[in-house]
Amino acid sequence: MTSAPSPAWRSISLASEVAVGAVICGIVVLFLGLPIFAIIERAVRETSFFDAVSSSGVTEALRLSLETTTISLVLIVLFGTPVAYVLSRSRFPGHQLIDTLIDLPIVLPPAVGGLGLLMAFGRRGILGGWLDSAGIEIAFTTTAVIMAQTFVASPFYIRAAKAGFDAMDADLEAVAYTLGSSRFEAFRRVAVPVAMPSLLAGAVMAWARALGEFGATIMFAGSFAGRTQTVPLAIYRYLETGIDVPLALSAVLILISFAVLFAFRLLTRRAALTL
Amino acid sequence: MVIIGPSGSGKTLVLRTIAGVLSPDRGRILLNGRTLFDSERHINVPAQDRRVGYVPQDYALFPHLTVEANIGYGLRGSSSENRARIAEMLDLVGLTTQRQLRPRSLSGGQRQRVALARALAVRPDLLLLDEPFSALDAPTRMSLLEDVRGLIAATRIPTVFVTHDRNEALQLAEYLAVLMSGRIRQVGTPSEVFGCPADEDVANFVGVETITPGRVRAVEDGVALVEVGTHLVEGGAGVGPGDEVLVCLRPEDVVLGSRTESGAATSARNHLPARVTRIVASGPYIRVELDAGFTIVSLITKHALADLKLVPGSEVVATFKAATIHLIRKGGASS
Repeated sequence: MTSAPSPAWRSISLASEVAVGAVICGIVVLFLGLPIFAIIERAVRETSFFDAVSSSGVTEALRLSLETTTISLVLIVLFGTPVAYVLSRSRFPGHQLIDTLIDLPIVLPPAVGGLGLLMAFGRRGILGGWLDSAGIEIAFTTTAVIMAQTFVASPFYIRAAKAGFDAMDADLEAVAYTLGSSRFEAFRRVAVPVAMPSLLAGAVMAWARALGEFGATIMFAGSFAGRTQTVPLAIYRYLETGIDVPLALSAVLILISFAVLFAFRLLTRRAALTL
Repeated sequence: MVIIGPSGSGKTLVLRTIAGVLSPDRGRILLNGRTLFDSERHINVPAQDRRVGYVPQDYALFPHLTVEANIGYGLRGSSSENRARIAEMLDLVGLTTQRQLRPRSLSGGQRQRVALARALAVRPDLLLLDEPFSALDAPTRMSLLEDVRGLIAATRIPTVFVTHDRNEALQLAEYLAVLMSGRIRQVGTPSEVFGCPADEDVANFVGVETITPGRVRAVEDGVALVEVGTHLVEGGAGVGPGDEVLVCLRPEDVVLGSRTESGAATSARNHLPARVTRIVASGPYIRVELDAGFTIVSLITKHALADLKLVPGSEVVATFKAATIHLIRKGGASS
């Protein structure tokens, strides 16, 4: 009797199934979209929006965020790509261990990451004394901001890049070798371009994660205007003085993020078409 | 040179070790007297220095590069030299008009030719082709087989070609190696391998369908007389009286005739009375299984089937020439 569908089930028409789907989608879109809309709407409605955007605290935080995330992203791509490639292409003792270690910052609360960085590179950290005697101070500087961002964001890039290399036919490199390519040349001329869509996707995710970084930064770099106070930290800091500046910062952040994600979407569609 | 073997026998592995993208545990690989690999002397020339061209089964064209960039990938000369070589290769494989396309917009046959041109462009000492026709549909395969044969002949580059397809092997091979379960079982010309398989497995694989045990009664003028069940079969050589052998007979060498035509043919050698047990269409031919005390398989045309009015149970005479018989001596080398 189990094979016969019940009359109630049969009576659900296609139209009502579509309606159910539409309602669920509507709820999700509303839930994700409403806060975004609310910020933009309030920011524009508040008469002081353009004053707030052009105030020195806001422009400084924006400049710092863009600078640090750009440098973090360059570091992540420069070091992360070879790591992802090696993890994808070779098996060695400790491979699984390193793979897990790289994923760890995704799971950890960012504050734990910040504390860890402090314990490693802070004045009283493991390398602190050695760095101090060399005259290098890291904690509570712009360098610390970049390190915090790199620490929390790099797994997103390495993960995506490794998936891209994994999905690639290893015969492509084998053929490149037989055509006279060294391992590095095959990596540069074949593996990287073929995996490019995955690399770009990972880079965008990592950049977005770095841009939103708060917990690790405030632990390891503090919140000093113009030096370590990136946009998320500034939003939190200016909340004391009123809603204007946080609203303006949030609105600008939303616009930049949306523009980058949207541009990336168009870019990958074009890349997918040419491959 | 063609390496033929069933799937999983290690054909691709052999090619990959020669290409240098896989290192064998032990052994030696030599090319024109040059040692590419020697486990005892710890020699392992890296793939990029071997000058061995490799075309894997799915061609592995670089998806992000155009046809001409694929072909030019391995070229190391000046840009004008490279351009000339690319143009030459495009002309050779007839893809000049497709030079700007990317692999995904090419047909299977065109992809194969790009892969071939890419490997040949760098003038390798040896070319390795892994089942180059397996990804193509049957009509394309037939026309490309001759093209590839011509191309390889024109470049005069020694080629190792791997396949599991007997027809491909017959068409392309100068020499044939049979690889089964990781071992080379037999090396020879196609007619040697197909006519005189070295053992039962090889015989089965090269399409000998009648393999039946017998005992050599006598050898007359170098031709063996073999008892198979109650019959006496004449043919084969290289064995002595008393030897236990396997009698091998290819289905296309067995001719069927009706009982009445050949009369009481039972006395003649290699005319065996038999009963039809099964009739199966096999491509353009008909495969007829016969019971003559042991199973004989015969491949006949549709016309022959109609002329003889064969149905399961028909009584026929199976005839074959002594020269088509091949004997494998049990537990030892064969002729």
